[in-house]
Amino acid sequence: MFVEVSNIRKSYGEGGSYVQVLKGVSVGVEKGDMCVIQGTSGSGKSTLLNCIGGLDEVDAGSIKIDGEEIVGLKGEKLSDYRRDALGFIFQFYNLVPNLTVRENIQVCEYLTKDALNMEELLDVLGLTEHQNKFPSQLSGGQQQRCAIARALIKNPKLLLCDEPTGALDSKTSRDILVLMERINKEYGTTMLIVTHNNSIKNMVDHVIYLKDGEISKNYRNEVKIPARELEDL
Amino acid sequence: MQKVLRKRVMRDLKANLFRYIALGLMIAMGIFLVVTIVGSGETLTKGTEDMAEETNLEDGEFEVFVPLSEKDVNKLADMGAEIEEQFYFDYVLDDADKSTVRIFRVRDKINRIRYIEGNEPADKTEIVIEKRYAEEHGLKTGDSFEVAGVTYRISGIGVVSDYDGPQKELTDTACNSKAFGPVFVTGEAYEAFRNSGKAQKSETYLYSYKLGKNLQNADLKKQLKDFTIDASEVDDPLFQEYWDRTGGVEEKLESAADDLLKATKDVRDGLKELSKHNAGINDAAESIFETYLAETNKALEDNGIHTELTEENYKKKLDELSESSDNAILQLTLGNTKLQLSELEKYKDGLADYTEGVDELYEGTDEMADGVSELDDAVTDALDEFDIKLSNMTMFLTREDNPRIFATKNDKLVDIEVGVVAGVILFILLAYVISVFVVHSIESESSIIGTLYSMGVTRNDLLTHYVTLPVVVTFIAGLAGALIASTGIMAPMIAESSYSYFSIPKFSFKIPGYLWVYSLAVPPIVAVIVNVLVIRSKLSRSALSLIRNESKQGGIKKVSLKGMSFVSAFRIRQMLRELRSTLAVVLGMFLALLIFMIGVDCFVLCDNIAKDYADDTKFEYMYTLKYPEEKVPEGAEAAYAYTCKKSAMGYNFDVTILGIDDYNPYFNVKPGDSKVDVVITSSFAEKFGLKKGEEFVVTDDEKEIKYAFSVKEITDYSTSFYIFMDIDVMRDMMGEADDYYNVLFTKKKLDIDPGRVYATTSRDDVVKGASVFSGLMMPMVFTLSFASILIFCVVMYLMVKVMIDRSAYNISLIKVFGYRRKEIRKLYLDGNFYIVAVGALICIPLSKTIMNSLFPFMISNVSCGLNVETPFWFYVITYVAILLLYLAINTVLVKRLNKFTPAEVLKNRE
Repeated sequence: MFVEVSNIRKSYGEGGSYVQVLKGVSVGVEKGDMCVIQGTSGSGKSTLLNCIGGLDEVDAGSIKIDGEEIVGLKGEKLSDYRRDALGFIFQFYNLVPNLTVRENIQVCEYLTKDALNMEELLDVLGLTEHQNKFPSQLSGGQQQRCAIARALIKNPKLLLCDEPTGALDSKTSRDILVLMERINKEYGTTMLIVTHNNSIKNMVDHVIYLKDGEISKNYRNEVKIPARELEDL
Repeated sequence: MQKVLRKRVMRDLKANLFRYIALGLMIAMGIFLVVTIVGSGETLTKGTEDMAEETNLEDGEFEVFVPLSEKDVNKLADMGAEIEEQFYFDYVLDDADKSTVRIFRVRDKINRIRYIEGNEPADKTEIVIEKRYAEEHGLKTGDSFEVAGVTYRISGIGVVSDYDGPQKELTDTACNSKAFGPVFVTGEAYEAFRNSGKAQKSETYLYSYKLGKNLQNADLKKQLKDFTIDASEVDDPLFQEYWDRTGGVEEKLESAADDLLKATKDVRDGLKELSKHNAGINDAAESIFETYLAETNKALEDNGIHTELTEENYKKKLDELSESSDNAILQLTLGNTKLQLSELEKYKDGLADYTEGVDELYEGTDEMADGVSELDDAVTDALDEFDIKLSNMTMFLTREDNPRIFATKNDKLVDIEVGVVAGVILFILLAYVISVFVVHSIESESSIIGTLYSMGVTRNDLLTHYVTLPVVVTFIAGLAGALIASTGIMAPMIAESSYSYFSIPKFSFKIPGYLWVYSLAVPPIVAVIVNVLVIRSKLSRSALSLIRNESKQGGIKKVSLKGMSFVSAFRIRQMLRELRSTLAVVLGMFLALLIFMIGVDCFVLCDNIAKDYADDTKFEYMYTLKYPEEKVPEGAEAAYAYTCKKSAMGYNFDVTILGIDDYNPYFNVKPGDSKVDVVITSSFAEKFGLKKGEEFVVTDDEKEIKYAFSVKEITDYSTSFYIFMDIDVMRDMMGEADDYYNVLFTKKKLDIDPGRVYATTSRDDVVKGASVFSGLMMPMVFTLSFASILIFCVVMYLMVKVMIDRSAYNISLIKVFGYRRKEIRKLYLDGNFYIVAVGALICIPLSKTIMNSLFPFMISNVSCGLNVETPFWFYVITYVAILLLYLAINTVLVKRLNKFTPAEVLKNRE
């Protein structure tokens, strides 16, 4: 397994406000898979993603990425893990507003010696003509494409996507998903996608459902629907 | 709504406690420093003014050759002037410093003594010592003090307002209480001093005066000038010797002119008398001739010769009669008659010529008498012009022109000016820092404001809300600063230099009313103004725009950085994003440097004065003479000094026209022979802003004449405001004798009668005096330097912290991407290093240049040049110090980067 999550527990608060968000979750994801994590609000899907991304600490359990244990990593080692292995895509893009598209992508290009070709990536993502624009001058879809480019430039082993289409309209969402599908194929990037959208599960290899901090469903799709054919996005 | 918003105020305070504490500390410290510096200056100013009032400080003083007569005193009293004798003797003591004490009678009316300890002398065995002299010589009440072989008991230590600056001579550059101090004795003891004959020079007849209601200094001075005396009344033998050569010669000239006129008039009158008889003499001669001619005609008729002899024909007729006669006797008789008539005619004509000559002589003598009379008048006028009549007054000095009076107050004017300027600079900085905070606060709360807006909260409600906290903080900080300052905790340090230099009692530190208003009102007012301006501008956006927190990304922020490396581009973008904070850092540095440069200029000026005075003073002794000897003493260089006035920035300064020879070894000056084109000293040029080729005017108040000059050359000379002229040209211009001089410059001490000397200035005195200023200014220099460093650090820390705080989200974001601390520091903090490095490179010379232009106004009352030239190494050290300070602040702030976790991104997302 490329991603091995074993019996992780995570809670917030104390006393009356104590909430256990993840209650011994164990799950694995194959290398090169597109995996969707679904669940209702408060089910723990984003927390799981954050723990895998090293953004949040677990109370107990183990997370291995490509065989490397990441639980307990701190400081520079944790930074190195994120720098070497991960790419992040957020719902609200989180672009640096005072940097141009190209400069936003360079933020992550700077972190690796083996960066993908910037021009090619810009071309693939349809950003070549927008590369010198600032985020405020772009549409939502363009901004998300920029965020994807930023995440991909360092060719991460694992791409963590938190509601990547959550702020986009249906058409733009489809475009983004098509793009992600293409990247997965072209670069073999393993993707963990947290989403509310029920259609997206049909395009991925692996689907995980979380309910009240526990895995309620965990299956592989026998048949995947190409992103461009997805309905009700 | 205000109630709800008010709750947020406390929460905002808690959330940004450190920021507000730092801001409050900066304001409190600024107010504390301004109030301490200005308050200290005001305390000393007010204290000396109150003491002047209390001790009835003179309006002025004057010296006379001989004590005023009762009639003169009464005349002055009638004019409305109250005068009091302040006669004195100078005695040189046999102590280690060979100090001089000036013996006065205890004053009754004017310039009364204020006792620091003890009392007035009870009898002729007691003496009162001036405070600074007592301090320098370790004297206190009850000690013994010996003057002129007599031992006195010190009955008290005191100060007098007319020796606030206890300098021996009015021309001294500084006070030296080790070497000089006034002392006070009873009238009986004073008489004993008078009789001792051991004084350094003859008694000085000094009077102090107070002007009546409608009496002006000029009126009194005019009256005093009119009190003339007979030179013989002056019992100073040196004066008499001098008078014989100068004023006495002029008297003789006037007397000779009078004698000549009188003699000429006598001759004229004699001739007039003589010419009165001319007609009679001529008539008598004519009558004799006519009678003889008639007698001759009758004798001829009697001898039967019929002819008519006249004056015109007698020679011809007599010759014809002689030729026609054969009678030899007749011929002889006729010949004799002709001879006698001819002689008589000659006599008659001779007398006529004589009387005509007498008439002409009379007319000529009459004209001569008129001419001599004119000569006499001219001589009289000329001598009047040279004031041949000896005025009793030898010196007249108003309180304003007396450097001893209000010396402390004049010195403190600089402190007050500096304090006020530093305060203004501080508040400009404060305003900008507050504006940065407000903008940061509003931008970070943009969506909240938008939401409140959309719910109907008015802009005024929001304005009031956002203004409240800065106003409260600044008010409390101002109050705290003023309260701490009012304890006088640092005032003694600021004032100590004054107490250990000027002769003043210790005053309790008091903050004047206007400083309270300044401290309590100005910070909140600045906060209100800045907040209102910034908030109004920010709140002019629509509610939706605020909710979306749409930031305008325009203008310079959109600059293209294509081709630049990522790190450089990122830093520039970050700098442009934080332009306001970046500017605040640079402005803070600039204003802190500006305050620092006040201190630097004070220090450099004093230091340069000390060095330049030592370098420029080539003579060992300069004697200003009252009664110069006829011949210039061997080894001395004679000069002619004449003091005029020139005003600058509202103050009137003494400037000296100095007549010297071309080869005078003490000045590197060739004055030339022009009365107009002159060489001036660099200190003169600096103080009055003169350049080569410019014209200027100085005023001779004594003669009420203005002299216009043109700057031919400026010579490097710092110690005095000199206008150099050729001594002969100057003598001619001033109407002095060809050998006149009144100043001697020498390499060695002259054996000169002290009575001839008005003042002796040694090189040692000049150098020591110059170094005194450094000591006086040092507390303020340290205070300003400390304040500026503190301001720099606080502003730098606050602004860089604001920059980091504003970038918290982005820092968290790039942490998510895997950036390490070093890399984050490189992107977010190291860029500031270049800003500080480049900013300092610009701000250091700029602040120095600006302060150099402002500085003359701050020390406008100080009579010295303005050499604030600073060595290059100072700039290098300042630059390095700024970078080191920044790096220290940076090190502290790096820790702050660790506080931002990737979770920040998640919080914002959620």
